[in-house]
Amino acid sequence: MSWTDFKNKHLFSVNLALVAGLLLWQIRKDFTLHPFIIFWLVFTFFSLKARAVEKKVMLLVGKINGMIILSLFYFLIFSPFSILYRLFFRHQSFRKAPSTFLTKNEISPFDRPF
Amino acid sequence: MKEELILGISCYYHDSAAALIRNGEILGAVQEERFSRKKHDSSFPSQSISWLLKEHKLSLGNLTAIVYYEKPFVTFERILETHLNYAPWGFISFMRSVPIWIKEKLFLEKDILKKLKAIEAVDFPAISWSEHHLSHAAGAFYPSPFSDAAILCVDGVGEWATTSAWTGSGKDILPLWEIHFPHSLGLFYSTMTAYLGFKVNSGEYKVMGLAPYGNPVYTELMLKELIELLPDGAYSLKMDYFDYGHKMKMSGEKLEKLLGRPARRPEAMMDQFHMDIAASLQKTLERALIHVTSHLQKKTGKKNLCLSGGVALNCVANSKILKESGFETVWIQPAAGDAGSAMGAALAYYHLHAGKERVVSPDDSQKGSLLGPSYTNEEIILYLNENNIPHLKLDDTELLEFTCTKIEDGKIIGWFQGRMEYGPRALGSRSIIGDARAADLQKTMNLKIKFRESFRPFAPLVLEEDTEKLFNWKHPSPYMLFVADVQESLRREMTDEEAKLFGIDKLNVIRSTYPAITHVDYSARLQTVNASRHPKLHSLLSHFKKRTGHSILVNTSFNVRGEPIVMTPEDAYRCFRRTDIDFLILENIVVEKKDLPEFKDTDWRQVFELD
Repeated sequence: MSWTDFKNKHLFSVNLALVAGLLLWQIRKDFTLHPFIIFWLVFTFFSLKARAVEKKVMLLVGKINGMIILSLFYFLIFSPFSILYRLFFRHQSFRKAPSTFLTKNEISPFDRPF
Repeated sequence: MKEELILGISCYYHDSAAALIRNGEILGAVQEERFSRKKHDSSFPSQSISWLLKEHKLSLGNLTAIVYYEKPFVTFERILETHLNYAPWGFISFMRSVPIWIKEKLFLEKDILKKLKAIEAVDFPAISWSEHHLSHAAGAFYPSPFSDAAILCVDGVGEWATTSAWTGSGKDILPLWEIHFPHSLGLFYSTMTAYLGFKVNSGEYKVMGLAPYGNPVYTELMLKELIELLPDGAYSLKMDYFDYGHKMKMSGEKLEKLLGRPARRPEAMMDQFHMDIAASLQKTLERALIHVTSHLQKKTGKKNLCLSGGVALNCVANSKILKESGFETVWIQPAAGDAGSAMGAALAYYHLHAGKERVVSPDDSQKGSLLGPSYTNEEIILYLNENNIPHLKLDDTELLEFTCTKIEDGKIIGWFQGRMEYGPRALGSRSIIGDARAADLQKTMNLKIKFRESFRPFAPLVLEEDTEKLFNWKHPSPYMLFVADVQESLRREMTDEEAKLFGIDKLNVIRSTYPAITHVDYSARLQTVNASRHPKLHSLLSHFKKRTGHSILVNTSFNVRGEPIVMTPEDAYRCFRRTDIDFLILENIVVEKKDLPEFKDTDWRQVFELD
């Protein structure tokens, strides 16, 4: 197995097993190194086999990460910005106006998606 | 002259479709749902494009342009602006829509190119982009029989526009005005459709069918509290009552409080209140559309009006527009929803970008909207033989005689002829037909064949030349986009007891010589048939008239509830076996429901999501 192959297919599992083992070791200080190594090896063995599970875990972690980042962005940046934006630049479609008619004078060129 | 071959594509929202035009002539157009068998399929129309190319012996490399029906970046701008307007509210909607845009829709061009490469790995033109409402406007004006007209597009929402007005003259279309999101007649109707417990984007048609059972007692309330008709011909919605701007649902508590009842749950019992809401909603929509169109008529001074956008599928409102707006004639794109925009985008590019002249056909250039696949007798026989299905081949005269005899006997026929329809209506190519005089046909067809709600009406097929004798209507209606009242002489007088009936009880009362097509308000969703658009169907109606004196038949789409209209002989046979249709007629081949081989089928209710 080449390094690239290993990196693409199994590195995540090995790292996950390492982190899980270290966490366990930290939680239980009386936990000796010997069972930790056994745990790590067994976990790594199974996770090497469980490519599908790994993929799902990665997707889930990615999704959770994405949600956290997007939520933080929404509440810490987007929402405060929206308040200022509404004060000074509210889009014409959301402004109160005597008529909802908007005059249209030209057709947007066909060569661009905007 | 250099040949201009243009492919129009609409997809990724609902009702994806592809259309192909050559030098301005529509060669073919088809919706992806017919291939994928998934109603309102929004996926990239790979199968539709493959069929169009194969049918016309073309390669993607032969195309001069590929046009997408919308400007995706402008739509993204609208989504962001909407969230900016409501933030911090609208978090869930933001979390659902923005990741999809960031991951997929902002890279639409790349995605389209990849999907086209998967169809055929050749060099083809770059993607061009037409505005959403321009695609609608072009789809309504260019195939119309008018060289000069006003154009109105009304739908849920495009990029920003929800309602737009244009003028069309020769090959040119000029914009007049737009009404932008969140003010939208389409979304107003959809919100109320959701409130009534029907599915948005497909249940609107049911609400229209339900309306005649109710009384429009809430119309004034709706016009006072929900929608304001402005003096210059515009309208605005009172957004406090609508949640679609920033929530994942259409209506909210405030609307429920206003109407005095919580929203109906899907498939729950319906009572007079729901019918009254449907009637009021329909009336409100009509008032709003007449308000907009009559101002448009006065402003443009045009005699002709072209309509498109999903709201233009509301045939009751269309008839009111024709009667009351001041326009003398109205032409509506039969695929008025987003599917029709594939064709519109291609036509807009051809006439407006390439600057090519337009040939106006006095009948229209839509070719009866029969623009999809067709199958020969040989192909059908091959399929039937491969599956050991007993059948009988008849010549044209025998076929007409056989079909008319069976219809007279009260039998229901699966009628599969010629090219499949483009648009949501079955216009006699993929139809289930029967005798309009039969008293219990509506109930049988609804409950045993279509498996749908019993209140839903059926449409008549009428010889164009006999329309005025049977209906209070003098315009052609080849695409089933207008309703007309049954002539008074054909109506049956109600007894006092019958006149007192309410709601769904009205359904069982015989109202005219043609009970199967007469709705409870004596209206019918009319399709007029002439020999030039639909020769075989015209012959059938003429033959039926010769035998019975009646030039009218019942027509409904060839499918069951939740299923797209059948496309292939196989789809038709499957639907035939799943339902109580008596005979299946595939071109000149007749299949009777006897001595048929065992039919292994899964429950179709599990296959098709109920609409």
